[in-house]
Amino acid sequence: MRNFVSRMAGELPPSGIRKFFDLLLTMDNVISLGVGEPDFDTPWNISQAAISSIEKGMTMYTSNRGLAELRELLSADLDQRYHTKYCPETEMVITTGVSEGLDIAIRAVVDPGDEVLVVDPCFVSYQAEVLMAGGRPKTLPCSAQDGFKVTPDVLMESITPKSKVLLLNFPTNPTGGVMGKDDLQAIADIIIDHDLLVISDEVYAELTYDGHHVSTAAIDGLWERTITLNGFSKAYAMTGWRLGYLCAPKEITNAALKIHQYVMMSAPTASQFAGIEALKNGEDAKNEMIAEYRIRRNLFVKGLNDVGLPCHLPKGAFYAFPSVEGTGLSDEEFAERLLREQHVAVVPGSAFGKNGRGHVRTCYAVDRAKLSEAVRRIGVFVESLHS
Amino acid sequence: MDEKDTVILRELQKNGRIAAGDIAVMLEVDENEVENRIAALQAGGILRRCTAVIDYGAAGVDEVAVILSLKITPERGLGYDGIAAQIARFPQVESILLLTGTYDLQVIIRGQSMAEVSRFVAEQIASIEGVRETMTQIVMRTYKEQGVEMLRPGSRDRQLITF
Repeated sequence: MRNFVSRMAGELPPSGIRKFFDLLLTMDNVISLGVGEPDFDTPWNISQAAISSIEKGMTMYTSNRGLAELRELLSADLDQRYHTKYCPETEMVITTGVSEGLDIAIRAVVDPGDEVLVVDPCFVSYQAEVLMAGGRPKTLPCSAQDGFKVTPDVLMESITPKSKVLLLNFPTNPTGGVMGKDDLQAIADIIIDHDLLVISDEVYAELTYDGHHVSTAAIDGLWERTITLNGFSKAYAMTGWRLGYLCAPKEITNAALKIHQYVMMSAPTASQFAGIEALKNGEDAKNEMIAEYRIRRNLFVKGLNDVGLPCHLPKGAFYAFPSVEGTGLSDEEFAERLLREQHVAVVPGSAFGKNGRGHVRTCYAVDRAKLSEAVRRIGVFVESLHS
Repeated sequence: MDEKDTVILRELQKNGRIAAGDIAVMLEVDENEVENRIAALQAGGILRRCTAVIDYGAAGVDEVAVILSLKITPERGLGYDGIAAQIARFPQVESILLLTGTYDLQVIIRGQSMAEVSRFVAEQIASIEGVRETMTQIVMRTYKEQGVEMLRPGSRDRQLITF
């Protein structure tokens, strides 16, 4: 029998954290800092809105673009929060999570051979998504010294004549780095001069701890060349609801919408009703969760530094990205041995790109007692390496 | 009271054993400041006590709780306060609330047995001058106490690895 697997799927690199699966399944009492999701329940009023919608029989497809009320609320929310204006009728699509938004955004604009500049380290899906669309990912190295930001110099050095798209994600998974207004303005002219399109994944926008999030599309000259992606997963603890949205100028939105309607039809209806409730009455619960993440960040990062893993203070998202270079182990060895010896799961930084080497990604969206125990175990492990 | 005091109180309410050093890290201030603020909150009568939420049922300890609703004739010059203060002195009384509606006071009482609680209500509370009527309801099960949901496990299982 011939091999039915497509060349693209066959050549797609597996996730760098895949090999931990088997090991994890054999272990008990593991504290996982590897999961990139809130540990909170979705606030109950939001869940209840979805339950009510099902009870009322609202279980059919919605419009391909998503419920009009949800888009209108989102449009007002984005304007008020980030000063970006999108028309709910023509410039927005509700997606099945930001993951789908990313997929249709890339497929809407990338032709085979087009180069997509991807920040390194970055979320593991980005390069794979570009490859699946036939594009060519090109990494844009970021470093701890620069706060894991994209600097004008590095951007200039990375651009080639084939570069078409710059994929940004601030606050960043896995580093927690953020780009402020000045940082974005510093690269805006380069983006415009080289006629690039920006895909800006801002799913962690509301998890910005110092100052306010600045949306890429709010920078002068960038709105017309930006696809903004956002969603409900992180800020409202709604990962399992799979609810996101894509905003862009009309012609790009229409292209993305065509792909969306062929592959997804519409986002889950009950999730969209949950999203409406989140926007109407979810602000307080969201702010409480964000305040709690900030507290955990402070405790956890201090804990990591105290046990000998140098860690910059992440300004956004819910990840800390400590350096493990001082232990003498590679990030992969560190993660594997920490899991085997102390039952704490972290993700090797190299899973997120070459520049993630020597770091591990740790998610502090874990309850405080577990977080404190994880720090204790990491301390015991680091100590054992020195003795 | 400012925003930092509010955070301190909230943290102590969630975990009375939390270290001042940990609160200091959370608030990005030094430990002395947290200790001084806690002392001031205590001195001002704002922070009364840091207590624990206990599920005695889980510990296998039999305990009885009743909700006692009382109709009261207010005292001249004191209103409901004098009688409430008398009831408050009994150690068996866990809480007293003044309510609108059919009954005036709602009192939660805990004891080792129904006989003990019944005797206490009949002999000590019902006999107070000004108490006109009582209604006693037995607490069959506690589902939520001081913000803690008793039926829920401390944490949920979730997948160990995702992106």
